[in-house]
Amino acid sequence: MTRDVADAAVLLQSIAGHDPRDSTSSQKPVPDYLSSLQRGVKGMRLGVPKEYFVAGMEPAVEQAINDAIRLLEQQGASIQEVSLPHSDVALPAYYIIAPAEASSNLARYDGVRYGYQAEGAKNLIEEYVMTRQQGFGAEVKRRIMLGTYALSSGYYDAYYLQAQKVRTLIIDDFKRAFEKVDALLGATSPTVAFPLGAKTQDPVAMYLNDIITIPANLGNVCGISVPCGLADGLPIGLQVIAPGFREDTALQVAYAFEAAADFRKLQSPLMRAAA
Amino acid sequence: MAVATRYEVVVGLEVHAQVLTQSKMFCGCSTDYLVAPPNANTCPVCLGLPGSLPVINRRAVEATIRTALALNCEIPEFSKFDRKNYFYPDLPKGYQISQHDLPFSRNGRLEFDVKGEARRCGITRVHLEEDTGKLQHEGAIEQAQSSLVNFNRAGVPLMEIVSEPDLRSADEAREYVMRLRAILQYIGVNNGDMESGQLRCDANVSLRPMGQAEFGTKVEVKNMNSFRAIHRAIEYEIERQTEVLEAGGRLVQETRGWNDARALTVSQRTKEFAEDYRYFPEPDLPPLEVSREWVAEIRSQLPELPAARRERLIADLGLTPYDASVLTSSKPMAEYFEEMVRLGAPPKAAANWILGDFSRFLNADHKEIQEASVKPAHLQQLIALIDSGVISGKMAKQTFEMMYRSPDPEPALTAAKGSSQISGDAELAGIVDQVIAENEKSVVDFKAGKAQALKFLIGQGMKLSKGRANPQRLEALLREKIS
Repeated sequence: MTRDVADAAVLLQSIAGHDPRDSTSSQKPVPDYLSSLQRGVKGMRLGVPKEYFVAGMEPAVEQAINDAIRLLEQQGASIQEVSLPHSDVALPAYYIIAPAEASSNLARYDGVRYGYQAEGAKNLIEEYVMTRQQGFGAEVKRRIMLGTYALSSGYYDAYYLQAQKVRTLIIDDFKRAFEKVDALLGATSPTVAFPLGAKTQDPVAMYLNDIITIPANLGNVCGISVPCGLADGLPIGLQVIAPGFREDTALQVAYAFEAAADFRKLQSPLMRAAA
Repeated sequence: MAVATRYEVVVGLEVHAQVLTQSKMFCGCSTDYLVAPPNANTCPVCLGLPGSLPVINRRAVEATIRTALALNCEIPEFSKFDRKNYFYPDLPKGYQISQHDLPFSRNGRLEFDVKGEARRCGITRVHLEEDTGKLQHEGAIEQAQSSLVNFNRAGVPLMEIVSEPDLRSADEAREYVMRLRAILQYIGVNNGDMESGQLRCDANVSLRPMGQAEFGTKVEVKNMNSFRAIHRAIEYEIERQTEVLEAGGRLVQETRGWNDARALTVSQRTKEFAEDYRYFPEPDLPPLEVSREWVAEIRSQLPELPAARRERLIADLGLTPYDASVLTSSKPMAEYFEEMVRLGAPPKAAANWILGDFSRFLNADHKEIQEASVKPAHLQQLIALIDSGVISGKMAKQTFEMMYRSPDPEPALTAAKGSSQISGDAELAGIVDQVIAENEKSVVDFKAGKAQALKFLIGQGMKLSKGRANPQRLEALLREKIS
């Protein structure tokens, strides 16, 4: 999103805070993210969720994350292992909740007021079906189908409601962990980027790549990803997760790591070629 | 009706009432959709443009809570909005923001009366949602080659007031809606206009054998745009369902539309094709906590409601329960009446005038009392002229009609004040003599104690004087002369 952590802090500073046109935005005052950026990690308690070292993680990724944790320890942070026991059900819960909301959010693309409109429809139903069949891509249609199914009469309790209950468990996991530590560390993704289209035929394998970032999406917490190494010339991300509204902490840890690791050395050959 | 002895009628009503707010439910657009040019009052939010988000209109929530309090509902501390998902061109987002399992209120009741008898109907819930846009078809919907959408109404706040299945006849259903409408007007949340759709009513109608506890198959009747339509549609539906059951048939759960011109209901949708609305909590809006202080504040601002006003008119002004019910069924009418009394009109006479000729003229013209040129002061003065004997009741009726028909009632009223009623005994004596001479038989009857005969003689005297004789003086002179 940005070239370095300081830029991310500047960007966040300008977009954070209450938006009167968005009722879900917080009324809390926005702290000065830049002023706390350089405070370092000395004396900070950092947790490493054991569940984030998932099966199927690439050895190079695991190595880079362990190196990153050691580097932060050398900067004065105390490291301890923590547990987020419901991490394994975060992905299934997310792939119920997100498609359910998406199926409804995307209903407005019906060809009536704006956007793509199919030609040749003989009646209203046909116009809806043709417009949406032709206008949406395969992955979007898959998610609309998943979400519509999850919200359907007779399935709501088993899927959407259950997923929301799981979400509460994940929120509680994080709450407990943050009683012991200031921030959590883990990989952003268990593997480096796979080739474009490589997992299109196997959506579950593709969704599994989000397995470590999804909990943060559900858990009322904030997270940042910062480059921490390369494998086969592709970047590896270190994820820092902090409690909700503690973006200052996440930025502070990420900045300390970036400074100690000397980010420029981690540039991908691809990026150097482009530059 | 033979029906009533064999089947019990069960009716529940869903009333949709547009909330009288300046701006829409989730955006700042004006709620004026009747006069504004098509799609003039729209914005990215009420058009459902990508990226726009809803913001709750506090006044609409307040109006809903006020309504719920007037209907004796419980107001839970926790409430939320949900999405009701379905596709239709008048629904910009592909879902309606409504309330599903945690509405603003539940468990209320509405008291009303049918022909002077007290009735009570449970209120299941009052919740808040947004109205849809309006389609305009090119010609009849079946043949239309194209349809236009006007989104001015989309997002106008709409309350849904759901009753328990406590109503037992078309009469009860009509009276329930009349009383509900009066309450909504009294508390200033809705203008009560059914013709323009600002107040709409759907009915769930079913029959069950007398004494049976379980409900029969229900049919939802839509598209009833007046009190008369509500009554007729339910009556029709009772008859139709009775016929099906009598013939040994089975009813299907369905939605039927009332066709006022053809005076029948037509099937629109059966249960098999019913929509699955896929309700889920609206993620774009936070859940709401309704503080007890806020509820108390709204409660303290509630005005006198029709039931209380009705009791007061009976107890303090001596009106009959029936007159009091009809007068209080419309806030403007009740205010008109009370203003007349304040100006000195005798309550009974004021009520008779308002509920008599005045209402008849208003109904014929499809007008509300506040639209009439005759104001409370005019009618009060007219009644004073009768009471002081300046004009007769008959003349007053003629004068009233002239006042009503004119944009300015003053000239007719002034003319009546000046028009000399024949009150002088000298002038009346001639009339009395002629009446006695021409109606010997009645004179004899009256002497024999028949009170009716005197009324006849007075009537003859009024006729002779072309309605100008003072009836009280005329009666006195007749009695004097005959005895």
